[in-house]
Amino acid sequence: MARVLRGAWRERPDAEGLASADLLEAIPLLLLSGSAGLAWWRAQSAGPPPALKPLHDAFGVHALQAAILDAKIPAAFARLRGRGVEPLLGKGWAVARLYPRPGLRPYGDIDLYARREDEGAGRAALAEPGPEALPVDLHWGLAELDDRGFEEVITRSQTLRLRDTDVRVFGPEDHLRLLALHLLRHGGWRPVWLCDVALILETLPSDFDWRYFTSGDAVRTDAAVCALRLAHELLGASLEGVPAVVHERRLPRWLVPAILRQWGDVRFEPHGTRRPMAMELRRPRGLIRALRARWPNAVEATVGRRARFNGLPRLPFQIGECFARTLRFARSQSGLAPTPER
Amino acid sequence: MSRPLKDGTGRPRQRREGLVVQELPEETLVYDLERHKAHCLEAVAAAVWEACDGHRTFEQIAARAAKRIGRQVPEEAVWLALRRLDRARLMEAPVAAPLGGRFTSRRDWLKKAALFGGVSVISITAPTAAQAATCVSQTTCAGLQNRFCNGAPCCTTGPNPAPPGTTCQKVGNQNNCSCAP
Repeated sequence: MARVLRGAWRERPDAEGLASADLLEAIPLLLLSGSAGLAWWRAQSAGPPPALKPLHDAFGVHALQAAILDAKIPAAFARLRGRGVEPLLGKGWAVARLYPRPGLRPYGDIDLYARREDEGAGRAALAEPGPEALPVDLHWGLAELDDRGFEEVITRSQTLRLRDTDVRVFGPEDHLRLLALHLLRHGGWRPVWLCDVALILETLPSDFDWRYFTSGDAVRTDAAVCALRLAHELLGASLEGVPAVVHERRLPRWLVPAILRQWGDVRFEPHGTRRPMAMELRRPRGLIRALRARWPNAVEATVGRRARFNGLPRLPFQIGECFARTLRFARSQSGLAPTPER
Repeated sequence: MSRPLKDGTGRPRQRREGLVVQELPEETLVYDLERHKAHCLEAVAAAVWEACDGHRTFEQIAARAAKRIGRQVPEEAVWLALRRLDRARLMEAPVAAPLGGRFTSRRDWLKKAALFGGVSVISITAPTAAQAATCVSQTTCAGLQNRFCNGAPCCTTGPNPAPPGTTCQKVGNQNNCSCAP
């Protein structure tokens, strides 16, 4: 996978060094992980062999999906602004727009971030009956960026024109940090998320504020720096112009294998697609499979336990994260806490 | 002079209702929201389709398409593109191939048109859940050789849905994978 996707986000990717055997072997994984469009983009520059048809089809479907979703973003902004909520758009379209073609970076919903105090108004806005369903994932607060103030992030945000509507997106420093931390929080399971990091690294504006990027919670900053190094080491992202803290960061030996193992896991069920644990408990036959699906990989356990990406063994963190999840689940079942992710 | 079409106007019109269109530099992608089918229009087919506004004659369509793609578009290619667009249900009214004159037979003009590239209208099959990429469609699974069976869950929605609870796996002595329990 990593060999196939090297440099695939570029306007003119270099297909040299892309072995047909690697591509053929990776097709099922590429299709499953939403990376097929990128693989097609890189491979097609060397001439389209028949094996590219499923990859091109995936690209086409993702491009059409993007057209459908893009049309809904202005409607989502209008709905929220109508209730006085000014959201920030992150991930999804905000990063897909930077790729050479729509469809290279698939996304399935509209990730919006709003102030916690706007939760009531925001929920009411999205609950309003409308002509179409809005697949909005509305986050209260800044999720992985909640070590920053909302006002500061808003001040650094940018406004872009999308179909006659001004949409507010994160500033490049915040967006790169958000993408890097989000990637790690979910165990790096989607290769396109690392391609996002690689793409942004290679298209940084000349006034990119590295000091601001590396400010905030030190553990998170170190994790974000590790994600940049990962993009360089696994996908060949250029580190030109990045500060010494990134160049000098040595990744722990377990990290790259952990990501590659995750990318190669065809049975992986990402969060959000799993049956809720409460349902799994009602049919004990599937319980072992359900528990295996929820076993945190080394990366997500490290982030979940707020640990450093260092050379220490990861098993204690994985056990700790598993225990914490079980506790959260038990609390949610007893009504003491909201339902955790699946 | 325009050649007669089945709709009797001689001025074909592209269908716009119920379609999502994504124009790219190399091709145009169209999703039919009513039939849940996706199509990829190659350059000439896309240019011909774009030119079919219900006002242009056949000759004007050919000229407009030629201008858009920057090379001559012969009549045969325009007709073949129209026929394929019609088959994909992307035209308002059925389009009939012309006979007579230079087009002595259907085989004759098909043969001439085949020499001209870029007129294909290719059906696209959704290989995965487009956004989440968490399942394999039954069609994609069946298209994979056995060594590529990945055990991924099969999609239970979309075109050609698989039975719930099935995964893409090797079954018996089949050459290709199947969605099976």
